[in-house]
Amino acid sequence: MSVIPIRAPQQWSDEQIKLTATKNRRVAMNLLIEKYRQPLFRHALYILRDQDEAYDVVQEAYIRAIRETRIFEPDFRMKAWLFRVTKNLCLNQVRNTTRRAAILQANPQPDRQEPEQWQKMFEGEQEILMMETLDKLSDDHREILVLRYYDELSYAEIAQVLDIKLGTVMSRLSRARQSIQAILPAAFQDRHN
Amino acid sequence: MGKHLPFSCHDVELCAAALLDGQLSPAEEQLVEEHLESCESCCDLIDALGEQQLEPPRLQIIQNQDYWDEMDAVLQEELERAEEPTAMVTSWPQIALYAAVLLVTMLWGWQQRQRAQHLERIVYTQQQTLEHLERAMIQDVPQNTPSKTVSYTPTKLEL
Repeated sequence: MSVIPIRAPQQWSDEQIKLTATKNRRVAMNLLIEKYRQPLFRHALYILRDQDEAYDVVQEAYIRAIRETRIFEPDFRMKAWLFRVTKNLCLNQVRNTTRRAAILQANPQPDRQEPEQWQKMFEGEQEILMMETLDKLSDDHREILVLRYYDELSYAEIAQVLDIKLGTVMSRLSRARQSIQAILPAAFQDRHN
Repeated sequence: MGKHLPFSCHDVELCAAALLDGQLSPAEEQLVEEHLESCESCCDLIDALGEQQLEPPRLQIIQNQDYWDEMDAVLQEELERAEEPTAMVTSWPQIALYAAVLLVTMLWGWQQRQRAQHLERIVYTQQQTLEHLERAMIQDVPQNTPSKTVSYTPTKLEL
């Protein structure tokens, strides 16, 4: 008998999904797909800035998850693993795009800075403004901010995704927040006013 | 600026995000608090960072319910493939065949080894016999035999 989820997949903890996997792996995998699809897609979008490429990357990440035999093992960090695989696939994609562009002797990232791209993808002016602000940061700072505050990864998970020490996560995140503070539009600083 | 504090302004700057995210240990938090009590600039920094709005932006492109349909189809297919039992590589007739091949190979190997050992023994025996004969021949030769001096006087040719 299959286990029927009675609440939204986003509300299932990883441990509950792993427990489900002991009874029905397919249901657990569907829960995993539902739970992390949007965060992974958003993360891929931040890196690739291309909707179709991000879609393909997320699909590929899930195919790898389905083939990964250890995915539901008790000590396996599913979330960090999924984000790391997605990130690596995105970087491969960026490398391929850059190589292709270099061969064509064109600008390696021709449409990365176009504001229309963001307008197509994100709702509202605030979102677009925020994405444009993030664009001004260094790759390291943007990446860690996105992982922490948009993808909502814990410090330990970020350390695993980026393959850095926990102390480096702390210091890099603090520096990233200080960097964005200098360029953050006023709309994002008056939370308590 | 604090004096003789275990946490410097630089330390506070490095752990500001962790402090705001509640990721510091109680002991570390205590040290930062001690520093903040006597350092106005660090207080301002923490306040400013604390007011940042960093919520995830809403995505416009995934509002449609059918946006994931194509991906779902691919993933369900992959899931079905993963659930399929692996091809019966280990069926009984195949196991018997593999076992027979293994047995024949082992027997052949054992036979070859026996043959090699037998040949080795023959060679060894022959070598021993040869050495024995050589030793016997040396003993047969008389010891301290005076050497004969052969003299040669060329004769004159009488023509």
